[in-house]
Formats: sequence, C-alpha cells, structure tokens
Amino acid sequence: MLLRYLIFAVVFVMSGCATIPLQKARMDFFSGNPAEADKTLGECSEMPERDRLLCYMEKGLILHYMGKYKESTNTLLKASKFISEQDFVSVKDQSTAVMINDRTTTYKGEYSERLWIHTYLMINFLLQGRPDSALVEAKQALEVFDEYPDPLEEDLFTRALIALCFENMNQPDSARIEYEKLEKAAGSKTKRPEPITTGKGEVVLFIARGRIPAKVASDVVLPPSIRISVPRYEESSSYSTVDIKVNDTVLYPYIVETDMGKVASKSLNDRAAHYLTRQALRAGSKEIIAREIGEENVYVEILARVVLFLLEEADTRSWETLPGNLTLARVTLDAGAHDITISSGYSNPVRLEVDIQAGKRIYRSVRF
Amino acid sequence: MKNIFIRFVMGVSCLALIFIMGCAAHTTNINPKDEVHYNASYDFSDKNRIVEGLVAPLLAAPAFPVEKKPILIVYPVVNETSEHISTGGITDAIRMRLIKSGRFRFIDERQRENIQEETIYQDQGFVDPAMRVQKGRQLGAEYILSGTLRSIKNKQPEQWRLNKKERIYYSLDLTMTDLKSGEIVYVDQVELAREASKPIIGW
Repeated sequence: MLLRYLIFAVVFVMSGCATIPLQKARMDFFSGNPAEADKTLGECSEMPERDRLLCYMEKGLILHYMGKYKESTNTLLKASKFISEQDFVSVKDQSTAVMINDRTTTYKGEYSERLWIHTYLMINFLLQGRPDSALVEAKQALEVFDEYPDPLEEDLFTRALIALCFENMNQPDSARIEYEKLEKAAGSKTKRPEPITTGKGEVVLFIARGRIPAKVASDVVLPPSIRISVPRYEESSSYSTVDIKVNDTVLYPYIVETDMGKVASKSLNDRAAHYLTRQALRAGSKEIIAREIGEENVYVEILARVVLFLLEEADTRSWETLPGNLTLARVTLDAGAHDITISSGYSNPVRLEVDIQAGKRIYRSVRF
Repeated sequence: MKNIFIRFVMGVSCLALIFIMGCAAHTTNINPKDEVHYNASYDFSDKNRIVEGLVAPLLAAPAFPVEKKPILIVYPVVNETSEHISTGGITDAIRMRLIKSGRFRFIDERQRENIQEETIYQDQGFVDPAMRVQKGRQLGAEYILSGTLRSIKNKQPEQWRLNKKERIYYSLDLTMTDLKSGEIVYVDQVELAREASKPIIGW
C-alpha cells in the first residue's frame, strides 16, 4: 500500500510544469521585448531534458529576429544535434507516458518543426554570407522531406529555399528538381525565378507574418473516470498578399509562401496513430490501478480517480514563436541603391534600403 | 513484507551505485592515427585517410618532376556533403605534407589581405626604406590545387528491426589546374564508405 502511495507522489511530482521560463520568454518576445526573452531562456542547458529542444528552438528564433544570426545559428545547430541524439524509442519516456501523460516525455519536435530548424539555419547561413553551409542545411532539410513526404509537402517556402541554395552553389540540375517538386506540391505550373542578367542583382526577402496557431487540447470524458485528451492545432489565420514596392513602384516578383499552421497540423495528424495508441494503453492502465486501489479502500479509489483524471493532459507543447506564414520573394533589381517597402494587410509597412551589386544576391529577413 | 521491501531498496541502491560509477567522468589520450568511429559521420580518422590517400600519389606523379618545384595556390575544398565539415583541415594537412616533402612551393592565399595591409603600413614612412617590402616581388602561382568533398547517405528503410543502419560514402576529388593554360593536369580521388548502426530502443 505504501509503495502505491509512493508511486502516486512520484507521479504527481513528475507531472509538475517546467515550462514557466518558456512561457515567459514567449510573452516577452511577442510583447516586443526579445532581449528579455533571450535572457530568460539563458543557455537552455539548465532546462529539463524533456523541454530542452523547445528552449533551443524558441531561443534560436528569438535571436534570429534580433538580427543575431550567428548566435541563432549556434542555438539551432544545438537543436538539430539534440534531435539526432534523441532518435530512439526511450524506455523511460514510454513508461512515464503510459503511466502519467505525454508531457512527461522528451519533446522531439513535430516533423514540421524538425524541418523548420533547417529552414531557419539555411536563412541564417545565407544572411551570414555562407552559401556552402546553407547548402549543407538544404541537404539535411531534404532528408526530413524524404522521411515525411506527405505532411511536409505543402511547405513551399522551404522547397524554394532549398532550390535557391542549390542555385547559389552552381548546381542548376538539383535546383530544377526542387522546382519540379514545388510545382507538383503547388498543384499548378508556377513561374520560376528568372536568372540574374547582366547589370542586375537580386534581393531575396524572407517575410514572416503573424503567429503559428497554438496547439490546444481536445478532451473527451468516458465513464467511470476515463479522460481522453489529445492535441490539435487551432485553425490557421488567412493572410493577405504581400505588396512589394521598389522606389515607390509596385513590383510583382517571384513569390512562394507557406501556411505554417496547415503544415504543422498535417504533421501532428500524421503521427496520430502513435499518440492514440499510447492514450488507449494509458487509459487502460489507469483504470486497472484505480480498480486495484478500490478493492482495498473505496475512498482512496475516488481520490486516485480524481488524481489520475487530472493527470491526463494532452501534450500541447510546440514551437510557439514561429510565424503563421513564411513568404520568400526574389526581387531582381538594377545595380545601385534602392528603397524597398514591404506591406501586408493593416500592419505598418517595413522599409529597407539595399545596395545591389551586379551579379550578386543579397538577403533580408523581416517579420510583421 | 518488510524484509522484501528492505531487500528491494538495497537492490535498487546497489544498481544506482553501479550506474553512477559507470557514469563517472573519464579522460584518456588516444593516438590521432588510430581509427576511431562513434558513428557513420565524418571524423578525424577520415581526414587522415583522405590526406594519406591523396598526398602519396601526388608526390609520385610524373607531371611534377622533383627538380621543378612548382608553385601552387590552394583553394578551399568545397563541401558538398550534408554535414558541416571543416574542409579547411583537409587542405591544411595536404599543404603541410606537400611543403614538408620539399617538392612544391606554396602561395599563402589567406594572408594576402594581411600582406597588403602590412605593405601599406611600411610605405607610410615608419619603416626604414632599406627594409621596406618592395612591391611586385611576390611569387606567381603556376597551379591551382582544388577539391570537392561529396557524400551519399543511405538509411535502412522503415521496417521491424532493433537497429537502424546507415551507410555513408564519401569521396574527395583533388584537381590540379595549370594557371597559364587552364588545363587540368592532375586529378585523383579518394573514397571512404562506412556502415553504422544504432539501437532503436534506449533508456
């Protein structure tokens, strides 16, 4: 009997939340205080292992939008390494997940999030003038695409970015293959970016808008005290088109965009079989425990049922600082200085001053 | 019942002690020439094998007779793999081996900006005119030494199994180009292939 109470106590303590710094950092970031958000997250090494990946991903993105591309790269590389180190089925995680809930497991990222680590690394490397390292990330992104082709198919932004990385390293055949895949995913023959002609250069804009939908819990309660709680993404917001003006003239450059919420939602649904199986196992084992306790003391059974009911929580952890929409625009311009104005919906327009060199490509990342 | 509980606690404590002792920090020196691989990815043993595999045939190549001592410039090895590999280590090691052989002379491309800066400084009047570096006396490279590192990775397809297998093939192509004619005068390739597996289930 003592042992059962001990298990209960351990279970209760283990289900405690370690996400307070993460929530604070996210709030700071969205309230326009990214430096404070970065400070709150620290080095992430003190974060419990089960939430460490979230810390790396949030910090990497926060640093990116602070313009600290080198630090962002180092953090996102740690995230990438963490995922490859955790590429196994953990006995510890599976047993706690079956006994308590999925939140106790080490977060390994949705398939879409694993891909977007490489997406932001590609962007970071390009912004740092390291196209060779961007291509390394492009190849790693392709491995993720190959592993989970269906849920990630609609991430057109990353596909176009991979093609761009191949173009940068003078591998037009590989770029062509990516454009063909992109057209297939888009379901129509889209125009391809034009090559840079003599006397012209190109500015590539990475435009992030809004906020990725939150992962929330959907609960179902069955008698006598079985609670089934599964995660789902909220509906995606729709975004108006991006308008790009160069020196007060509206341009219609090559544009590709990704609805991040849609891709994330498909990724979550793709692994539904995994978490639903675990959910069924957990519901069964909790019912057995409650009944066994009830054989000895009916009041303790009621208490146990309440605790087990409350412990049942959907794993709603996700990379929350991601934008809701990512747009890649490639604007070909004459060599020289230009004023670029990017506007989207009712948000304040973003103004950029760029100096274009003939035959060269430059990059800018903006967020609304 | 109490006895069983005490035995259980003692058993768990012993196991925990063994586990903690096993995890104690441990450091040891290893021979850099030994082949040590923890996974299928590129590591320092591969660098050594690549350098060994490329330098010996280059030194024996009839295109570069012993008495000629051609002047080379090394361009960084292009990394076309899917890993972040510091290819500068490969070029540095190849250059070091070739310089030590006494068969080739090298231009230090990486120091060009510093040399220029130092020359400008010396021309500003701070340095004794007799000791100033004279412009137009640098050596001109006769050949460009360049290379490309590539990899092909294959993962075992999804199926019921206890281990995940991964195969990686690496190749480094070394090219020597004559600067005057643009002709490729020497090419060589070294290949490495490795298979590694890791368990699907862990603690």
